[in-house]
Amino acid sequence: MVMFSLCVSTYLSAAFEHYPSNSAAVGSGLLTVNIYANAIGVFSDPASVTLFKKRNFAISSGHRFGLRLLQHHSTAIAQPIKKGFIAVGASFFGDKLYGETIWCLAMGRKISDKLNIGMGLMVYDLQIKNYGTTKNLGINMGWRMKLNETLQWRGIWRNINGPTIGKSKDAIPQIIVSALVYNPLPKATVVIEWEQDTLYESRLKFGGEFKLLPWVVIYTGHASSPNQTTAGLGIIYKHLNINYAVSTHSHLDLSHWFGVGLTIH
Amino acid sequence: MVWGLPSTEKIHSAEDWFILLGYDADSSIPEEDLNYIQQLINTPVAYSDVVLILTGTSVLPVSDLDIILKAKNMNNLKSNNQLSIATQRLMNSIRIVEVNPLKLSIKEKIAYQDGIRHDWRAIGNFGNYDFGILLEKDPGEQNIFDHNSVYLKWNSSNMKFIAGDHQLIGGYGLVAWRTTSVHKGFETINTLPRQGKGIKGYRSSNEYWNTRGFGGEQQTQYGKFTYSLGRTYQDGSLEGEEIKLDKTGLHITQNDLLKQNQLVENAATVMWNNNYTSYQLGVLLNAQSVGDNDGGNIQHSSVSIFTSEKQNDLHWFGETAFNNNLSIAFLGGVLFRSGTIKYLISLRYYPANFRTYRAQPFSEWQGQNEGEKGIFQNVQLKYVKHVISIYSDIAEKIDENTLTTSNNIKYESGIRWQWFGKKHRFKTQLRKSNQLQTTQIYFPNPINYDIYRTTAKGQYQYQPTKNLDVRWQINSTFYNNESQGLGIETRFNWEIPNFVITGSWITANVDDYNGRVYFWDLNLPGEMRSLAVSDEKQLLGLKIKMKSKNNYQIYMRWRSAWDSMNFSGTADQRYALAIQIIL
Repeated sequence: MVMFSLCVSTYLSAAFEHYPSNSAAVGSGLLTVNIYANAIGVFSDPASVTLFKKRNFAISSGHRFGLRLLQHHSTAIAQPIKKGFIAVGASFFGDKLYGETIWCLAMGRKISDKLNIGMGLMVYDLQIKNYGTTKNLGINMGWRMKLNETLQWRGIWRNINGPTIGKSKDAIPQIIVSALVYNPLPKATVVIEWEQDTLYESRLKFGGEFKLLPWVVIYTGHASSPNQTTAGLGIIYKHLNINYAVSTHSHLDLSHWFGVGLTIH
Repeated sequence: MVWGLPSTEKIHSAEDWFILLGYDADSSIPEEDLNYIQQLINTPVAYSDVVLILTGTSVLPVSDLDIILKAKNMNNLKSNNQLSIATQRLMNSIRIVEVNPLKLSIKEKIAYQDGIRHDWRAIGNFGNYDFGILLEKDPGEQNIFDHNSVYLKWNSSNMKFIAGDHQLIGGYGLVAWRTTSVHKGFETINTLPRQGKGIKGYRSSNEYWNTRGFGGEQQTQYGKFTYSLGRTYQDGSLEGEEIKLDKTGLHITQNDLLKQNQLVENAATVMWNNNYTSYQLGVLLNAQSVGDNDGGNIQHSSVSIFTSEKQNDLHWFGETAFNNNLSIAFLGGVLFRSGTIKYLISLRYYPANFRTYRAQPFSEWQGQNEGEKGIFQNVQLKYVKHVISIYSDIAEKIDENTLTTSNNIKYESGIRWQWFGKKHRFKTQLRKSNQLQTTQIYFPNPINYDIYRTTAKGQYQYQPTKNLDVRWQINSTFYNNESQGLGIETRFNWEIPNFVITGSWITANVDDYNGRVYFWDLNLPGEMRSLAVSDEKQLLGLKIKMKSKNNYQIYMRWRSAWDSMNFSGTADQRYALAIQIIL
């Protein structure tokens, strides 16, 4: 019953609506672009793989609306290679009755001082108890463009190959994202993001981070359709980054996210 | 003194330029030309590319084109007071560089009006290659790239080769020319005598006009040979012996989806043309086969011969085409040019059901089965700061190829006066069109027209400083004695460091659709939209352009529309955002 009501009231009408998120992005307004160089972010923003000048390992875990049925666990590792950048990751959503697994291989390349592009190959694996499993392949693309010293333009196209899943050929969501990332101060980042799932209304997201102390970062943001306000806190200790974020919903319970990132030299 | 001193004034946008050329808000503008002019204004270009781009546009006057082709450099052009005012100001707005720096230009546009329209374009070059990408999604469409188009073009001194979406453009529109047909109006004198320029990459959001395949161009001592081979999926169906194309480009409802890509067109086109001392001659051949999923197949073939000739002040042009039904169509005319006056007369005859590959000639009626015959005349007189334009057209629709009755005769005429001062600009015009909607026995019976439509327009533009201009415009329509409409717009452009702000306030009192009045919208790059107001309305709009020295521009547009004169009720909101970057 709970699942049914969620299907009606939130974004659960198709499989793979929920993409892996990292706590910093959730705390900054449920951003799709990965502005904080968190390896989990390469699932949704393949061009962000070019941010990783060193090897980065991350895990993230979240409970949407406080429901165990909607638990989401992800892990990824990203690093530079000889001719570009690469990341691999895995994400698990759901429970024993209904589960979605996403496997990700992302590659990126610096085209010029101003332009970086990335591509993600995603394997979508759906498991429903007593019904079996089904898989398909999705392709994500993205870019990261430096407009000047303080302004960047980011873009993402998710599932450009129009993948479907199962015998009923349910479409896996196709999403367009366009975002402007602005650094008004060295310690602050502000993002405005437009996200368009081709089946739903647009979501407009505002958010950002502020480095309160050398080891403390605070995040806050807001997303529309549905209205969700978010906040988060990050602790930086040497090469370790620990984040927590929370997001509200007008009808449902709070969602909590926890993540750890490690830069390996 | 005929033309005055060369102007040093510039234009702000492609939109400004088309208005200056004389386009009214109810006319259609080729999107390709819009993209080209946009590129010239916003991107530094090498002089050779300026010539290449301008010869590729279809809206530039023939007289300007001749001057551009003869000029040796940009300074020659900037100091040439024989150019039209619009072209002079365009030249002043182009930034010339030694080597073309354009490697990649990306533009993304997100517009909200009854849903989101997303449009993403890139053009670029590397070495001898040009490429273009277009990805678009209309409101309600589920596919992220519902319309997609890509081409890659290789250029050498006497050869071109293109793979992907392209167009072969030749002649005057009877077989293969134009993305938008030429409409009658004050500016037709510029566009009608222009001839197609060969093979081009496709960059238009029209979803039914491209050819997908490959093509090329080869210059030889016997002339230029151009070819195109395509296998293109199209929306529509075959009904009997007729190809019913769905040209909306919308794929939202089940009905739309049932028509999507249901037709496959295989087409081969070859063109030969050669420039002789005083004239040019060309031949175009096309064979087309359109099939559907049920095994239906319709085949067409067409041939056209086109020519143009210069004799002192006269420029003759014409095209004759016939298809496999042995129907013959003709379009021709002559343009007279002297220092002060230009005069064009053109005749056309298209029989009913005259169907060819990509026919879209100068016409009144656009239906694929509708033919017509008509005579068009256009005069343009320039004296110091005055420009006077007059046009008239009489056309008869041909539903059936008989000679005894007159069908849907339409007579249209217009007169426009413009005055271009340094700080002030005036424009006033009157257009009348009378149309017969029934069939009558021919002469000597007088024609009792069913529709009388008169539109009048007055415009005053004041530029108190280099960075500010304000424009007031009043438009009115009278339709028979039944309905009328009146609209007034106040618009300003204000340029401050890093920003250009444009505001618009339209107030209109219109009886019904027949009394509608047209105004230009606040257009973003690549757009040339107009607003047709057909009831009581108040519209407020604001456009902000943020420009930087780092070759990027961000545009925002907001418009609110109230269905009342006193701003009561809930306003309909429309937004758009665009970003353009040159790397």
